Amino acid sequence: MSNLAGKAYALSVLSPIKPWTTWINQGVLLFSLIQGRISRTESNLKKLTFIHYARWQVVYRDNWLGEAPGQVKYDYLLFFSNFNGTWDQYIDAFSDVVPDRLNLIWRWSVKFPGSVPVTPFKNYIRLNQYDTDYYYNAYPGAATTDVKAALRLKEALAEFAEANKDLEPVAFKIAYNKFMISIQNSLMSTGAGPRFTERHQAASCGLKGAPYVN
Amino acid sequence: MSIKCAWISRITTTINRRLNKNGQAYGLTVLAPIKKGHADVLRHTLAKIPPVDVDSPLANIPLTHNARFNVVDDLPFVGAPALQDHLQNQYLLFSCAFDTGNTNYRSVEQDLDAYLQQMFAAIPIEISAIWGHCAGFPENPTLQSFQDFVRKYQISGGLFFADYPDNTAQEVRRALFEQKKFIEFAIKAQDIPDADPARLKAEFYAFNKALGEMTTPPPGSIV
Repeated sequence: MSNLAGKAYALSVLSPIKPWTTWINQGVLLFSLIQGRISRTESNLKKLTFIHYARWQVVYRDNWLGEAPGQVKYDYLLFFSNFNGTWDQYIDAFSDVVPDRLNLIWRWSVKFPGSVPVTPFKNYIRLNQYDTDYYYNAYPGAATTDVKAALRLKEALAEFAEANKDLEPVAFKIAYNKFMISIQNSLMSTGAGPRFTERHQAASCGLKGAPYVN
Repeated sequence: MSIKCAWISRITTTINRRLNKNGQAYGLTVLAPIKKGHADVLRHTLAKIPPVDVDSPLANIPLTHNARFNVVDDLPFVGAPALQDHLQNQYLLFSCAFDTGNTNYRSVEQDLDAYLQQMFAAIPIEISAIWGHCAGFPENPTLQSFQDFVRKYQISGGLFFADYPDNTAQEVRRALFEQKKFIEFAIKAQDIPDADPARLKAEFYAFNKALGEMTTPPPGSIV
């Protein structure tokens, strides 16, 4: 069991919603979604820059197929996140950067204490969190910032190579130096993180199927 | 409680299914009841999957960005005066983000079918070894019965956030690989004697050509 896959942490939270407010909660999620899609780059969540993917969903009482009618009394807010860094850093950043949005989404959950101050908020998340039994990440050596930087660099590199292929060497060198300055923020190093095992190190050399060493 | 009125239900179902998509990325959530007495075996099965991503069976499904399995034993109790919910069954919660390669919200059904088809072709044994512990999973699964099973227990809708929704997992791995190779080149280029411009240009385009011919590392590898 591990909530970690490479540099990503899988957070899974189920919190009870007062059933008579579920439709408001759904409306808030829809409003957040529309607002986020219209001003995608300004989306509050993107300010955090360490969430690969996240999701809030409502699990209705009758989504628990197999339960007798009336067995489950609350609807539940299901929250998934795939983020980089530690659990504490993540909740701290959430609480600092998007407290109003978090309150808007979670205020319909039973006994939600608010996202500020952060200690009761952390206690609430911890109480409702489910550990992950298995977690897979397709690019475990990269944080969200690395991914976005790499995508930027790939595009810039292709443009640079195409635009300067006919330049004289001296002019090319000037253009190359300018290019290096323009993309220096995209040259971070990725790779195995501090919690990686020897098997991860072997995998980082492309040794698919090498013996597992923990 | 979900809506009982048939025509409203049809509209909300359609909307909710479309909300599974953000850009070209699709978020799949499946909540299936585990057969009585099977939860421990299922946990053991999940624990035996190789923890290093490149060795994972899920690495054989190149469309996948990330995926997780959670065994839900019971529901949380947040303290009095809240009511205490208890489940009669344990549940397997599966969640993943995968590529559809298109941003058309009308094609969500076909996108899910295509992913499940790739999954069923790549890891049929693992699918049965995991979901075979769930109620309603077919004895001898076919692609159609697997797709029906997933649809039956799928939870749609909500707010699906993706920081780079328009880039596929393959594009991400390729970009990370090219970034790593370019950094290696840039460091080496600093050692060109007398910073000779002609040699810098020649070496850059030789690198660029070689880069285009290099293979992208497989899914799950550490770039």
